[in-house]
Amino acid sequence: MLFHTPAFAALLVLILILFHALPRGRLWMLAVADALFYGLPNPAHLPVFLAVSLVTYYCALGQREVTAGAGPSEAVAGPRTHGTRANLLFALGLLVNAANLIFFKYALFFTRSMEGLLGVPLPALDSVLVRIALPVGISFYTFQLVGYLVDARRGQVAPARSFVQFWVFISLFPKVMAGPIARGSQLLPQVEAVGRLRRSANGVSRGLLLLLVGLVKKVVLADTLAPFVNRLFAQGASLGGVEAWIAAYLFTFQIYFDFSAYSDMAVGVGVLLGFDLPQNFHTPYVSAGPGEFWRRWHVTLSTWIRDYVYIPLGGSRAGLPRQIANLLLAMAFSGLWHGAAWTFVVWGLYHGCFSVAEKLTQVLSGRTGARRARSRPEPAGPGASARPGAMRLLASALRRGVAVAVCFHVVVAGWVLFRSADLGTAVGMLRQMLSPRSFAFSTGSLAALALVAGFYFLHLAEYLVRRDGAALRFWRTRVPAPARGLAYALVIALILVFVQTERSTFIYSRF
Amino acid sequence: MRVRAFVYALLSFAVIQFGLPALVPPGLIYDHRLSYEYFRDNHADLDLALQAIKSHIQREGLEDYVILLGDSVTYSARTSPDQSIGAHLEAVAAEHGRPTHVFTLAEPSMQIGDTYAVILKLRAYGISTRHVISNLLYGGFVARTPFPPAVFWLENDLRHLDREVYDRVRSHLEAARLDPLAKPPKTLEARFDRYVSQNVYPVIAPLAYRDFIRSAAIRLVTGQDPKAEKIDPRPWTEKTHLKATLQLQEYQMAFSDRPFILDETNLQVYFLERIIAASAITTPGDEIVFFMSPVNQTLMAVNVAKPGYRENLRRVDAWFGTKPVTYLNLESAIPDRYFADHLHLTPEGNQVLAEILWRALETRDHTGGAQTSDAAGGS
Repeated sequence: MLFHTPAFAALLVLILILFHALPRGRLWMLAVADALFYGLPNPAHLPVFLAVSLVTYYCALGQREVTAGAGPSEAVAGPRTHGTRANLLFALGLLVNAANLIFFKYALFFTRSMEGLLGVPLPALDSVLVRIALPVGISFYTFQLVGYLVDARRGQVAPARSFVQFWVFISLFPKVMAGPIARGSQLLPQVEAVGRLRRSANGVSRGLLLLLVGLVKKVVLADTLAPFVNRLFAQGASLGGVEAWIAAYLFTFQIYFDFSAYSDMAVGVGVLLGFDLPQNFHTPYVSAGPGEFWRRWHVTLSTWIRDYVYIPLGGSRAGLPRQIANLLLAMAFSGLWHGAAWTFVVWGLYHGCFSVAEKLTQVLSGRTGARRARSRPEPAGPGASARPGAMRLLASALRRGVAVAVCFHVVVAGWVLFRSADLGTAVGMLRQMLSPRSFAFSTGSLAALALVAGFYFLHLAEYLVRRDGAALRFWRTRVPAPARGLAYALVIALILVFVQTERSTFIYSRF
Repeated sequence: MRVRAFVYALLSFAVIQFGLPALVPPGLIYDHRLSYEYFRDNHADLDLALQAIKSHIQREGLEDYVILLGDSVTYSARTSPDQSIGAHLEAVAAEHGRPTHVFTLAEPSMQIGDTYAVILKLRAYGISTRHVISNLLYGGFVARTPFPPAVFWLENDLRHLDREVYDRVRSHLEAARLDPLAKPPKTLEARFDRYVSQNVYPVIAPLAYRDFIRSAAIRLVTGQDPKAEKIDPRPWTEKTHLKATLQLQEYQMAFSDRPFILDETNLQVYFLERIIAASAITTPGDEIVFFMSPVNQTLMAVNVAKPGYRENLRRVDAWFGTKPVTYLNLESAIPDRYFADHLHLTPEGNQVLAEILWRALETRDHTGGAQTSDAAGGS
């Protein structure tokens, strides 16, 4: 169920009233609400989700019991689980989750790739697989379930005491469709204490504000950009250089507004209920390099890939060549997670290459820096070799500005791979974008570029507002209540004006 | 403090709710017609057009005005609003020294059941139906298979405005439903969303006016009109694809020469009877002018030459001869050079048709009664 639909608004109001009026019944009420939220729009997918959750729950519980010999009620976070039966249960849990994800999301992709590779078409199989509908949020819940299973094996999380608690943790309705990907250690304790969760005036205010911000991003910005982006990308490689850049820039902001809107609303709804869900975005387009970008973009996925793919592969522990291979593998995996198409894999590898380039630059600059430090004579006295402070600050700001601009454009070009219908189209568009001969500016394109600049300033404004609470404090304490009330009413009216007649989904809910 | 801000937000929203309709320029909604681009995506925009028309009538104290109903022919689908039949009819009236306002509420694909629903809506808004002109298509009398549905767009309005008539045609509409927006949603969630969008959205001002405000905002920011109408006023002789297109089954069916069944089992007749009855019951003296849409005699030469086709037209003439309405058979009244395709007219064709309609209105007003005429010879 989508956040910006009347059904969700009605369900949310009902849940909030019941949740805060009946603290004792919260767990069961959330369990039912989660099932309704997930199952009402897609009744056929709910049993699958429930079954996979049930298997994972028992596998995690079973492997802990085998090792610790403790009952479910005594289960606590502790040492890693071992033993043949524990290994078997762990493998079973992984297998069921992987099979579920592969069957629904990747079966057609793998079959078609094999057909292409072997040159043997299997139309009968294709026609069956093409009819399989992708369950909403399957990539997100699968990663949560696998993360939980691994954490339980590592002893980093105590298995849930009851399936109802586990179900609420996995399927909590604000985040089930498109994250954030919650960890058991983070969310399970909150679920266990759900009867004692308290809402505060600050919490309600913050939750409503996040909901409003999310709705503006989704309804006013992302959904308004969508038809323009669709029209431009439909022309693909036939676009001129400037138009291709405009298409890429607009999609850059569309996907950010769309996905961060979902995350803002998810966190906002969580706050209204009393849950503390992790923030998924920290204004990523102000990043000065790939590493920082992935600490700001879809944070819970980046950390999941780091903890459950990159580090288990060896991370940076086995030398530079192995680290580079691990980085590329992890990023390709991240790309494939986004969608069953080669464009996503190449997009992941593209980002992997930039992460590798950053790593190599760091290694090289580290060595050069060390050599310079060794060859540099000691300063005669304190401050003798230091440039004036203002100059240093200016140079540093300039360096960061250039780094941010370069990183932003690397990301923008990457989105072409992500958004294009196929690799051929993406390569054609990128070729146009990199070919100065294909550049022709018109009044329309200049206006579009001015719009893009406006979106970037909006992004910068969000960065400044979120960086510290000063702006929000000023808003709450210095701006008179009538002005704030009027502003809220205008924002709500703006959201209503931009609500689409046709139903628009969130981009990331398709993954 | 926060509670105070909340209260002020509620008060501010109330001001927006009641102030917004006055702030949206009526010309943004209705400019000679309600743009099909809006109506197609949101049928509720027709209510805003009706409100704009009613405000116009009240503001200027109008008593003598004409309402144009029907489908893409009266809408003047191939031409811009200021070249439409309605615009030309206003100009012709002014030329004859009788300035008259003409309000067009026709929309492409509207069927006779839609026309009936619009008349009921006009009554509900208190807009006079004393001078109503509606076009009819020959194809409207052809037996439905069940396509096209007798109510193409306004099924929901018909259900609310005349439940008895709706129940009579319901099974036909369910069998013939083409509009995906009209299909009953499958899931409970979708049903709820649909109920809210049909019944709650129209009463919340920012939601009701959203199509027009959003388009104006996008136009302001990007310079592009997201709802720009796709018109092509070129004459049919410049459109080489037409001959082949018109051989398609859907077009040929609309010119079928099978004998018409002109009783109430024919939904065209059923709705015509309802329209005539509603007109007579509400305001005695009210009359509706129906005209059979002109057909490009060259482009459709094979079809219009068939004896069955001509006989069907004669039978329609005869049927109208028994009814207290003015009926003009304009099937061959417009020279072919004025056509943009087989049915729709060029801007000059719209002007010619407007002059014919004006003459009919003048004659009717002078004679004060119903008439049935074959205007082909008079043009």
